Amino acid sequence: MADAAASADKSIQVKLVLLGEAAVGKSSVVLRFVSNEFQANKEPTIGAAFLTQKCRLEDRVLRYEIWDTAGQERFHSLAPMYYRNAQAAVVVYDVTKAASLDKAKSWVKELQRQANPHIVIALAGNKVDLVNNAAASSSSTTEETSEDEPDDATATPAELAQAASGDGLRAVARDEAQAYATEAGLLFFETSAKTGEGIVELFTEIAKKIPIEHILASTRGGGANRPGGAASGSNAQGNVNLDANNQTPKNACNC
Amino acid sequence: MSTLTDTQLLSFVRPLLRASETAKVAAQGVIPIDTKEPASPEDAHERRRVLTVVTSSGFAASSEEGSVFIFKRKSTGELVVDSIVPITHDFQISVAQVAPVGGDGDGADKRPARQANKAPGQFLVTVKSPSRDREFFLLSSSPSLKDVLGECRRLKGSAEADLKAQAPWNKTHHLTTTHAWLEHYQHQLMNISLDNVLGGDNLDPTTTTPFDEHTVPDSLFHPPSLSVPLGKRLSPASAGLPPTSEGATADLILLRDDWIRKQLNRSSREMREKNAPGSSEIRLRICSYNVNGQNPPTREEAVKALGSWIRTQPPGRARADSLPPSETSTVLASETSSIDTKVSDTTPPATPKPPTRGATLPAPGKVDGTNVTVPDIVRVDSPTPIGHRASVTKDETEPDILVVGFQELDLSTEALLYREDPAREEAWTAAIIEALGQRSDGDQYIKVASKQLVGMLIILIATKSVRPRIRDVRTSSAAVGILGLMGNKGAVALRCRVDGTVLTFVSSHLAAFEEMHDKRNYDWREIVRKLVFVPSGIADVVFAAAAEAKTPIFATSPSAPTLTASVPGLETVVNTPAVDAKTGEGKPSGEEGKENPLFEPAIVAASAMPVAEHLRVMEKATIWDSDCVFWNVHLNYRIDLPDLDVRELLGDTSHPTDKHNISTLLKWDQLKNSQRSAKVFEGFEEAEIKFLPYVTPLFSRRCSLSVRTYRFEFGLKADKNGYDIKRKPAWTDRILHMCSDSANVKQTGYSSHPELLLSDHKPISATFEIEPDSMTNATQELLMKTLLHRLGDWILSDEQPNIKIDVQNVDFGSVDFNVPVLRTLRVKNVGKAPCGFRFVPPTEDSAVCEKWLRIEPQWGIILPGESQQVQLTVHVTADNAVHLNSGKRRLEDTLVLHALRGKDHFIAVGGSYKATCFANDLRWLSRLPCPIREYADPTSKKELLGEEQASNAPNEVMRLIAWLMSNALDENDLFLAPGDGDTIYRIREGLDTGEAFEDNLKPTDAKSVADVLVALLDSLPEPVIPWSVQAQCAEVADRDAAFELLGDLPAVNRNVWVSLTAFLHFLVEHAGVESTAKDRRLRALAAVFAPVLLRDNLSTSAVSPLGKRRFLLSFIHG
Repeated sequence: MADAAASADKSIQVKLVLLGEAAVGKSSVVLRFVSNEFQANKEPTIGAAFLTQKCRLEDRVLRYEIWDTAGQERFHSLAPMYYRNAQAAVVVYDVTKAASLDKAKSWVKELQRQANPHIVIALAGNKVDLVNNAAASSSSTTEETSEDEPDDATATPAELAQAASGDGLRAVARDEAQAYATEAGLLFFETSAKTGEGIVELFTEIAKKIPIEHILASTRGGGANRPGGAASGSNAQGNVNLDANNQTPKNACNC
Repeated sequence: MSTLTDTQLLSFVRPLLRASETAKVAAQGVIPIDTKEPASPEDAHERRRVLTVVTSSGFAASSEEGSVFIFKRKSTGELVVDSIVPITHDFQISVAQVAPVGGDGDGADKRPARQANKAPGQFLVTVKSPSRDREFFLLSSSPSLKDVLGECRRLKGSAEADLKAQAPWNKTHHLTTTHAWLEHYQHQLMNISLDNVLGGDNLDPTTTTPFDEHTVPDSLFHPPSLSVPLGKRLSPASAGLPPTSEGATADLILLRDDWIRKQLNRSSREMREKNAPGSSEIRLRICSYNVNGQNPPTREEAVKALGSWIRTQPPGRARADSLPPSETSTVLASETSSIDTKVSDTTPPATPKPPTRGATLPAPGKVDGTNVTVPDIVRVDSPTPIGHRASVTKDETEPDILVVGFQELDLSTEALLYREDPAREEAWTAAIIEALGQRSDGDQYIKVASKQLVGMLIILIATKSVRPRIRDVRTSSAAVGILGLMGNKGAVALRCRVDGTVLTFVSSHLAAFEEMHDKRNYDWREIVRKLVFVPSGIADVVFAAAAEAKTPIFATSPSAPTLTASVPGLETVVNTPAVDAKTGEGKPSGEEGKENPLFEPAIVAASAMPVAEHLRVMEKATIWDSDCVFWNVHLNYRIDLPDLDVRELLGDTSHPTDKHNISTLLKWDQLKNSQRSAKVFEGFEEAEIKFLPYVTPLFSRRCSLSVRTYRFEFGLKADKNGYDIKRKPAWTDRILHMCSDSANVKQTGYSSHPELLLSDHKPISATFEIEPDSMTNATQELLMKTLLHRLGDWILSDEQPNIKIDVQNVDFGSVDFNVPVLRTLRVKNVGKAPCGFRFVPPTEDSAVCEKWLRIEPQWGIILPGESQQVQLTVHVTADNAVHLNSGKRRLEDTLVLHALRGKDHFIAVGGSYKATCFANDLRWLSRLPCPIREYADPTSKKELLGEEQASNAPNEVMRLIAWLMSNALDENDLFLAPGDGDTIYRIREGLDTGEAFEDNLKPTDAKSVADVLVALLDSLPEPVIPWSVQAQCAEVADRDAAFELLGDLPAVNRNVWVSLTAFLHFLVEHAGVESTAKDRRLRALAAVFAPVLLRDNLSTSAVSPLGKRRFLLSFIHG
């Protein structure tokens, strides 16, 4: 008990928000990171969910406080309430849906204009498992996989059909997204919430880039009322050791 | 469970009883059933009963009394009272062996239906009490039956001996009054306990002694604080607040307590309804009178002098109903009567069906020039004999509880400097009780308690039958006079519990003079702060008894306070010392009321009340620690209008509905204004005032018999309405109240009593119906434990809430201006733990939702598997329509439903609003290129006209005036009588869509068209005469000046004004040839239109209503 309290004191709280078009897999990315799980047929998020996950980076413990927001345009006006004061943002798009990158770009623009000026933004091209299959496997395997487990609940029937065909699946070229990210000063990863690919790396690189000294200074400075502060009773399922080059967060050591 | 022995069961029964009761012996068995119906195993389970012989040696019983209790065993293992048979003198018990095979049972009570399914060795036990109409059958093979039989016989012997010992004339009475202690269990009996109310089936059946692990927080036993509504106590929140924030736990506790209270209230209500609706209802009457130092009337005169105020509407009032209203009479006294009658008409339950009983209402007076004569009081009929009233079974005009507040009871210097004279209080009390007279049901009134501070006195009077239900009576006072200490101003107060409902009564007298309202506001806050109620002596006695008895059930109760040592005088709750805020001194107790038969001789009731009832009293209570606060006051708040205006308006009856302009005057009432700006009495309610401000009795001076005081200086003059010219008329005496959500309080009357002539002030009264919470503490505690059990320890757990909302998009469809539309959401808890929810504002500085939307409830708790309905109502009104009409905003909103410790859920709300010409700026309307509906259609792409292209006046206004001009000039009641709802809607639609409604209208629809015109003008964001020029308008000297002022108005406003006043002018001209008819119409139209065209701005200081009328008249006058 005393230990937990002590470590809670030492841990650095990082508020992170997930943004992006509806059905790109934001909730699945968080679920993979926090619980190392994947749920097919996940219902769309109508609202905003709060999750936490502790991570170890070198000698520091970070506690991610994550807001997973609704992607529907109807609720766009509420987004500022969730990204304000955030130290990090993950803007997610779907690699099989070109329009979702456009939406991601507009989110990035909004964040750069309105969010905390020191915010670390990462761009994540999700559902890369769909295109990996198409590239690496024979067409028959692809078909099988796609039929057996419709990979993502939020994928539209059209997308499923496209996935099944195994043809012209990728709608956003990696290079194109990478070039945009570099130009806009973003971290960039292609991820798959389904397989876990790229997820830990994504959060590790964010952790590394967070200006921790800056956060600590502002906390000491009198951030008693800092949003996201005073968090006890974590609901984290396990901690992630970001140092370990380990793709299975469940096995990570506790801090 | 079935393996428990009788002895074990006995130990389960004991905690359910009170300290003064003993469970002697128990025997288990089952209820016999009808053979025709096959018995299922569940059924057998259901039929299990535990029979227990219980004795009581409580305070009230002269000797030991016994009863047979039959408990039902619930699936949870809990025992609940199923039936009780008192062991009376005629009690019978028989135990008969049941024949093992077929055949009739040969029990004492032979009933074919109850014969079968009896196993060998079983006995049919029959217990009955014929005089109480109770009987019960049980099949049992318990070895304890012999002991049961023995105990019953012993107790029956005791009951018989007790009866013999009674005097012959008392025997019948005695037979019905034994076993009073069983009352305590009545509610459990009819409740069939927690099953129905709480869905007890959901309870974990494995728990054998459930709920004991739950300690009920003490706070739950007290009424919730009235001062801060729950919405304000919850932590500030908005979307995006992390669920782990500190406020969440505190919020959950608040929501939990609120939930438990609501459930208790619901159970309590259901119990009452099951019992006999209305049987526990209390009629409360609150009276307030500034008696200006007068002595009370003698006993002989009391009924005549005080009757109508203290007890009922005078019979003359109701008779006035049948009299044709006299058009020409402007006598205030008679006008007031008719207003009063209306009040009672609108409140059916309290409609006083007056007993024909003599009182003092003067018959309607006559106007004789400017001198008003009122008939002499002595001419009023003498009281009808009592016998006549006896035929009335339940007289609705008789209060059960009466609270009387006096101000200026004693104006002597002695009273101010030294101490109050108790003789005066006694005399007043005697007069009041005399004035209350005989009750139709033979019950009597007794004084319960009182508190005096210099000239202020509050007295609590109740009937003898209600008195035992009044407990924990406390008094307090607060002085805020000179130096904040002198007791000439301040308040006296009483606090008591009626059954389970805490009522607080405050009577106060605040600083005089119009300009002193800031001082009054300050004093009010001081009074609130200083009024503290501590338990009076009587409670201490009970504490002592409880401490001695060491009642085991209520071990969690707060420690007993220090006991007052000797208590012989304490039987008089009357004048028990209360801690005086000023000096800490109280009156010595027991001084008064001992010999006077009017006063309660002794608190017999106190000894009869269950000990446990008093264990949860609050040690220190403020006025807010109540279920309801009643505040009767001589407030001295005045009307913020020029003196002349007030007098003129009071005498003016030209408005078709607002006779005497009461509602106009009330807009500028200082108390209402201070309430609006939350300076005083925030959250208090006041019934609609339909009576006139008080009338000085100048004009009645001649006829008063014994009233001559130093305050009556000859030479004082009255205005034509009978008001003292030196004192501005005002509603100085008021009765307000504030209730918690759970209190069942309904106001049924509010009147002034100008017919009382004792003082130069007029008394007022208010009547209420109260359904007190009648659940006993034991039942309440059990319920609370059950509820806490159902909630579990979730507040401390980490369980994530999980709720689902049935619709994400709430579509209100097509929404009309001023027509509310309702939709219901269903929020279901699909998680494992209870879930607290609340709607939070999307941003920190916004409201929870748009102004046109209402959400009910905004917070609550949902148990796992259960659903909560949330009602959403869209209502677009003149206050919130402007941006919707102009198309700047759409009828759309996003609600954020926050699950405490969980997610934010978004709910999209929307509808298609039908834009209307109502509630728009005049100038904007005149720039519309087409009907508004077409303009607001997003596909139309029409642009507003430029300023220079704008029409002279809005087309909609002109259409209405044009139609009226050509069709309605001969309509007599135009603007003075209401139109028809459907027609009004049709006309409005015509204006909004541009469709021609004119052709379909008949001349008889004129009133509807007139209504639309007035409503349209009244809905403008700023009136036709803008606020900035209204003061000038009200002061114009003549017509020329008025026309000149018109030049300063914006062109559109000027055009509307000119067209409208021209039309009104024509209308007056058409009133006929008679100048009186013309004049009447002229004044009526001015009274209707001035408040619309020159609408008040309540956030600034008042502009003379008379001046406004004069300004308008200078345009429509011939």
